[in-house]
Amino acid sequence: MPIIKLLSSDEEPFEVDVDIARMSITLRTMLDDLGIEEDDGEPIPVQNVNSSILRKVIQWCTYHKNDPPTPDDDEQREKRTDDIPSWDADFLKVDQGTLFEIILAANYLDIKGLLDVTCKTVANMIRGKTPEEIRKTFNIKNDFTPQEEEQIRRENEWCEEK
Amino acid sequence: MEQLKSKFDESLKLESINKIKELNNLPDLCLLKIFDELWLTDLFSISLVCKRWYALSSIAQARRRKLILVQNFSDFRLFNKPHEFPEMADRVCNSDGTQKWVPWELDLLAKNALLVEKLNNEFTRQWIVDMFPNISSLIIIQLSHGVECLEQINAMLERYSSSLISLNLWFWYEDSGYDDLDDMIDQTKRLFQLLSELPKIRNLHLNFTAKGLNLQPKLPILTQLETFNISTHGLYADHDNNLFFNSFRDYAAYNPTLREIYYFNKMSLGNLLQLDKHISSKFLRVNISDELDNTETALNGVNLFCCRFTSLQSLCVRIDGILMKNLAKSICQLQQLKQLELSIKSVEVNENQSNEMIEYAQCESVLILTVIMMNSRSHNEPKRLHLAEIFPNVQVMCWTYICYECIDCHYNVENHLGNDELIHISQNEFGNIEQCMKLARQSLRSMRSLKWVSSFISPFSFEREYLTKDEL
Repeated sequence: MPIIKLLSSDEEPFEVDVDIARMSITLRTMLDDLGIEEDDGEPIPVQNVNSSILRKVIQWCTYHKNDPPTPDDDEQREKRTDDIPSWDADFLKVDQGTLFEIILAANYLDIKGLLDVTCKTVANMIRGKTPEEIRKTFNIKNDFTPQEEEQIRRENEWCEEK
Repeated sequence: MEQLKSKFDESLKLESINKIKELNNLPDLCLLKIFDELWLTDLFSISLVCKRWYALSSIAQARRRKLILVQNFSDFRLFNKPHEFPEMADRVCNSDGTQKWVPWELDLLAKNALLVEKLNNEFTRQWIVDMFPNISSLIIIQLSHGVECLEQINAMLERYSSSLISLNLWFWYEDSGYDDLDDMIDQTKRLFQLLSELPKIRNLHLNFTAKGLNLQPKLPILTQLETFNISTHGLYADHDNNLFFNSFRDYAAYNPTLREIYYFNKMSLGNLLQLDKHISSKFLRVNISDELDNTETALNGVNLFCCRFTSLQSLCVRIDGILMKNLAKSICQLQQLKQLELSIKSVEVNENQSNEMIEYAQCESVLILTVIMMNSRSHNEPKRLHLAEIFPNVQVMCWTYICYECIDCHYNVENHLGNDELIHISQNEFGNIEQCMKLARQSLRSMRSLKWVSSFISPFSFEREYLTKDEL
């Protein structure tokens, strides 16, 4: 199996199977455009991702390397957040900051499966909560004036649980 | 090469990511991606979190492509037989058992149903389409009666005609005396006309209940379809059935792009075996109308059927209990089959046959099993059928006990006597049914993967009973 080297933003090198690296569309495009098929001595910089997150990303990709391709037709997909595989659920039992960084890395590296599962995880943390509970969970400041808040409440009044 | 590489290096340096500590540090695109995973009511809820989320929730709302409209949600619970919900198979199987197996994500529908409640009251269709302008996948479940249902469906189709890729219609024509029969036929014609004018439609699912209504207009053939499914419920005249079957067969024959089809009206084994093999292999669901006995013709037919309908995920079949052994042997070939409904008339399987059956007939793919015992006089069937051994991986078991005599009794007596008398007569007639159910429960307890059971025993209870395995 051909190997390539990735270099994290804090300059830690990672040796990765080419097939695993190619699960990232960003890296795949880069490898294809540069004609890189295996390690040519030069590490490929992944400057937006630090070593601890890159390690997690590689771990996820390694576990999922034989998964069938994720369908692109997001539009037709049900909004399901209860179908997170148990391995992924365990894998994502991390602090909020790490979870958000994995989302950012998955988005940047364009790894759809990882982005899906991390976003679902955060969506699960939001689901069913009141706005105040959401603010508390994610440490978000309420920047509405009472009048603005009242106005939005009126807009949404119809969909409140009865 | 070096030049190219340095160009990439530069592009990769564009955004140096600071340590992300909070959700609001994520860029808008990532937050939108998260919001895309939320249900509609949560989407409205998050708009109150902060100004940024308010703005993003509006964008997320407009990005919604899929809309489910349900009328009279509380009635929906009446229609919870699993075989009516093909999508359920996967969902139940994926469930970790912490949620009740209620079909088709009732809670998801409940969230969306709020929308419909208002559709009927203060919110207009225009409001819906303004709020969700880009719908490409539309599910409309109309549970109310009368011609206005069809008018509503047609109006929504007109609005979304240019964008719809998937359409799933459930609608019920109920017996309202058919004062508006002409209007209903007109609206049905209009519906079919609209269906033929959906330029992007790829997936079409039609679920009708048409009680005694002759749906004369023929469905247009949409050659671009990839999936096409028809389920009809209710009492049909034979010619209505034939009409639908012919339409369906045309669809199957003339749509080269079809990859999934089902036609869930009852079809005879003879008709099914006449379909071309390449069509048969695209079927996902089949409801066989014949009552299959243990004759060589039936056995060969079933075997041939299982060889041809290789993609089948859901099957309803009526059998004589003695056919169980051979049926299990044939069904093993259907490796995609997740859902099986057996209506079993009577059972005379001796122990030797049972043991023989266990040796070679394990249907491992079946995860949802419905057994409808059609004769309560054979009190030992549950034990003798060895369901746990034949279907070792069943997660959801729907157990129904119906007695032909009971039903006749019920209808006859109900017309002449009060309900009290009916219960009295039934209890005398079928005093051992409780014992029978104890045996059934014993059998169910030995199903190692079982998570949920629903049981329904006629005539003692007209309510379904839902149990976890532990509650058996």
